[in-house]
Amino acid sequence: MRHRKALIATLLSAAMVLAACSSGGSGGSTTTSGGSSSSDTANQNSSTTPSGGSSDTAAATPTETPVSGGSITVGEAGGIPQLNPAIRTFAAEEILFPLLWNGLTKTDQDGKVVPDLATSWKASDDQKTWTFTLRDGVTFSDGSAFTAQDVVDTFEYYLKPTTATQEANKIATIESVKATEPNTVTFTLKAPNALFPSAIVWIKMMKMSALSTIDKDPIGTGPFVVKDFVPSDHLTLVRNDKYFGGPAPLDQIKIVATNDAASASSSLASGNLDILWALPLSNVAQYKNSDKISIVLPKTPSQWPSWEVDTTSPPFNNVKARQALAYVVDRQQVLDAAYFGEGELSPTNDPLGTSNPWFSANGLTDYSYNLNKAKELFAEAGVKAGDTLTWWGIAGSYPEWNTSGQILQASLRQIGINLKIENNDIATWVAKFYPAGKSYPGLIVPNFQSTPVEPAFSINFLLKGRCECNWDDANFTAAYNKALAEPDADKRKADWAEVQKIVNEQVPVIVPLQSNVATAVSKKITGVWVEGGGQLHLESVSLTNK
Amino acid sequence: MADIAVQTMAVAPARRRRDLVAVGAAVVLAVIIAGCMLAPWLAPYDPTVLSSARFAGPGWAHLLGTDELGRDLLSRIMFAGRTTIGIAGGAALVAMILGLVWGLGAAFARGLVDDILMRLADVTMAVPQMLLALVFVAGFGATPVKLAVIVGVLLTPVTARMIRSSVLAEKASDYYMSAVASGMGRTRLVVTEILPNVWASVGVQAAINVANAVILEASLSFIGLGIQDPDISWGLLVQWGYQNLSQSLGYVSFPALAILVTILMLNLLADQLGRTDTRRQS
Amino acid sequence: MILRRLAVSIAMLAAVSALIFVVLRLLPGDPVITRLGATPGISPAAIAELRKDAGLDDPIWVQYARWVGGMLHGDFGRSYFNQYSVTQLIGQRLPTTIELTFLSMLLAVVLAVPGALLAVRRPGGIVDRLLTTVSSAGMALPSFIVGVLLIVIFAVKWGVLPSTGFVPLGQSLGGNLKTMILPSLTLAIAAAPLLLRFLRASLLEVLAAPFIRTARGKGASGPRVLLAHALRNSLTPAVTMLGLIIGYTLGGTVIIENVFGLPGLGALAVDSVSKRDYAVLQSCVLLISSMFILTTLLVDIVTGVLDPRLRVGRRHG
Repeated sequence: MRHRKALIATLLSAAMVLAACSSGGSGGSTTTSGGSSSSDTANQNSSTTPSGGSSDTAAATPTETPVSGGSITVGEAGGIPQLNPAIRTFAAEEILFPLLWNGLTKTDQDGKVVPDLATSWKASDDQKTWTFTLRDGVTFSDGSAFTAQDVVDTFEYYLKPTTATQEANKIATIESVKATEPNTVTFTLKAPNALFPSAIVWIKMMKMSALSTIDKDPIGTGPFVVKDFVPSDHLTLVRNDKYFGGPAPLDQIKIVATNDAASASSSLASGNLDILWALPLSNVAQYKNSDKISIVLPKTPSQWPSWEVDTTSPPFNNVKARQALAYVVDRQQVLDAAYFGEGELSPTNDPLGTSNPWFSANGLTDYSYNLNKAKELFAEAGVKAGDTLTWWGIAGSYPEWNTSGQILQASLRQIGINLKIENNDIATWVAKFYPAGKSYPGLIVPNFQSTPVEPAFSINFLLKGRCECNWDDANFTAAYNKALAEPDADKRKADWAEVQKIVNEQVPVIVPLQSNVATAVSKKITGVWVEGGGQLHLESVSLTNK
Repeated sequence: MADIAVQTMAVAPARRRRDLVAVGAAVVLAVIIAGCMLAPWLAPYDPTVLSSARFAGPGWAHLLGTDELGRDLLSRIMFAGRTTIGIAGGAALVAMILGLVWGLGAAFARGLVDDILMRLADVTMAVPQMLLALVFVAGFGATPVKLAVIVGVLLTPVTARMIRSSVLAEKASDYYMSAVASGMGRTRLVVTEILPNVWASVGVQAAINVANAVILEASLSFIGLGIQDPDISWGLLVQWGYQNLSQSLGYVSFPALAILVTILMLNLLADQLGRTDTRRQS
Repeated sequence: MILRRLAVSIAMLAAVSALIFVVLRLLPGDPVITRLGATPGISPAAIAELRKDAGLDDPIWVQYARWVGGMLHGDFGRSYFNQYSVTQLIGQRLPTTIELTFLSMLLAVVLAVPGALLAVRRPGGIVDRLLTTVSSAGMALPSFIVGVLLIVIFAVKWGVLPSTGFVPLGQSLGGNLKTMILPSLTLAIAAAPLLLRFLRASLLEVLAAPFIRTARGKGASGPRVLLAHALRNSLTPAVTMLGLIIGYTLGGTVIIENVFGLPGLGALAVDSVSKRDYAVLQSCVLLISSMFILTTLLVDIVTGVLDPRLRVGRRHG
């Protein structure tokens, strides 16, 4: 694979992104102002972030007026491999989420959870029973009506143990789903979850009876439908005239595999491509001063490299060894050299970025590059000069991983520790530490998490049985569950601060930084935005008269 | 695609060139090989050391410029060449050993064994080499050692066929007949009569094999299925240079040039050796 | 004779399929794991279930029989990765590979035939030497480097031809040809020198034959001798050569489809290697190989028709 092609993104992550759809709302107009109004939200103050958001919009200057119609071509390294939203494995598949599908809820560009197919919802006082009222008059793209039973069918499919869905973690607490009335669905949870509406933004409602033909003709409720599809090559979407939110601005969106960065950037320059998603970070700089192309970045990056170690076997079963590792990472150099400066540092090794509204620096240890401390702590953990650790990476796909490995290798060498860099194909790589519970002493496994800004669904990665780091900390679990059950945003912020403190002290994974996902966008189109985790939103894109 | 190419070239009657060409090609090759093999001592920089001078053009500090991480391109090409040439040499060796066993076996066994061995060669040659390479790489992985063996195995059938036909030609010769008539043992026959006489064509084939191995390895690495980070090879460098084409033309050109010159020199050498061989036989 | 060749071809296909199948089953990696994309919290039981569904638990010979049996009905099985029908995946991509191969061969012939005719007009002359040198260089160039070079020149520097953005033939002929020119040219640059050299050699041989001298003696003009007599008589060996070249070109499509982002079988094969999707890989490789074997068979038949001497000779042999 060429660089970046085999993006198995959202790997292992409890990846879900708060900021999901922002299609034309219920307005029935062709305007591109993203996001439906949140005024019809029934009760939720609980899920909104205290401030800020996770998105950015391609700046539309007043001279550019959106026009209706037209088509755009979107480039992406590996192409779309399949269409079933439940079993997505590649980050690129998430581009389709807001285009073909809807959830009961979605998040807008400000990161607020807002209604999608549900118009309102409420929780019982114990936060264990959730009732959703569905929107009227919604039809699937085949013309059939969308009903409460479709919600039940979809959730049951997602919950089936053989459905290999990356959403499993977020919905694991669901005990039952029932269609209590024709337009009402009730969820019963095993444990309190004040953030349930944001846990299900990525559960996309499908017409389950059409599952067998989903590879050719997926039946959803979204603003676009599939016209033709060649897996891993191209996918053509056309406007869904039956969409409840009113017709999308564009007639057609074509998503193509670009194969390599060189021809992709020449296609972008020649106008054969309008958008190039997740371009190699080494290529970002060249567009910074372009008059035809702009770079769209997430406002609050929430995609983070997670270097995992086995916390149950030596040497990293010793917290001192993990702290030492945190100190030996030259975060600044990793950001500058491996990520080409595209991101923000995490000096406290926090899975939440410093610009995340839930981030709390209070009482956190600063793990900025410090070889003396690293050496000392390694010594206390029994890791001596001459010992060898292994960097267990994936071959070919992620140049930034390999550069990170080399930087770490150089730093470790300075304190006498060897780092052997071994890069394997994905299958070999995965088999060594996945599923959770495997022992891999002495290995440092680079990976990344594509998460929402909401801590509940980024930090939950560290819960027992989920993170391949095999970390099991009762204090952490208790603190996490406390935060999750807290409906009040301000109190919850204090709870999350507590969680961050434990993570900071125990260092279950290494988080050097939060990285950007960069998208190059032609200046003749408007309405593109990107979530913190890198998910591209095209549902409200239109051409301009420019 | 190239093995057939080069073979045709080797036997094609072409105008005579002075031996100077062969010597010249050998010298250039020797320089390239020595430069790469002695890279740890000769290279101006550590090929992994990063600097802030990204995508620098050729200059005094970096003779061939730098890559996207500011690493010295000349040093990287030299180190990459170690891998590439090492694999190609290893592959040629594997092909030669297996090919000799296979070809000699077929030529001497004749009959059913010969038939089976040659049909086996047919079968493997019915799959385009590149595809068979994909299957093997998918099956066994692509460390430098594995790649050398895989590429060597891929080159074996052609080599075996060539050796078999050369041996058969020798066996039909008068002096071989007389050697047989004199009651020489089979092993001795092979060692004293056959091998010395097929040596020239084996040499040609070896040069061709090395060239083809370079192409195969480079192609595989270029499409991302060959050598992997942190190992580097010429094909991989071309791929990376290509990815960064808009930033630097030298990055893609210099490793590509290294591949081209090496292959061209090997072909020239094979061509000249082949012609000498033809002359001797005629 | 044709029947015998047919039998050999079928036997060859069977052997090739077995070879591919066995090699791909030798290794440890689990295709199901790749498909999961490391879904969090997946249970070993669920993995076992997926393996069973994909038929990976059956003995290897059962799996092989299922594959071959299915193929006889046009069913290549299902992708391990996305569960799609392999027949459908291949069907979507086969036309591109065939078109690419065809266009490359066409271009190669267009380049090679006039070249060879020019070269033999004065063997050893300046044109001949130039062509020989150029074709040596052409053969030495690995195709991916030629492809990159063409992209740099035509797509990046001049911007006259696209380097990606394949347009299907059914959609627009002009648009399709525009995207096919560079990849076809890349493969033709590898194939044409072979053909040229071969044609040149066999033309020279024919030109030295007595009947040409007779024709010349009777006052036939140079070009007429070349075209009417020599070229026609060099055709048979050239067609044989073309068959072989098609095989190498098919192999070359694997690389070139990747360089130019064409949705062909070769690109599918490479993609399936990286996804460990052997269900797709094995059928891709077998299909391309069978296209090669079929071409060889056709070439044998065609040359038999073209050259009666060969037919008689073979019947005796």
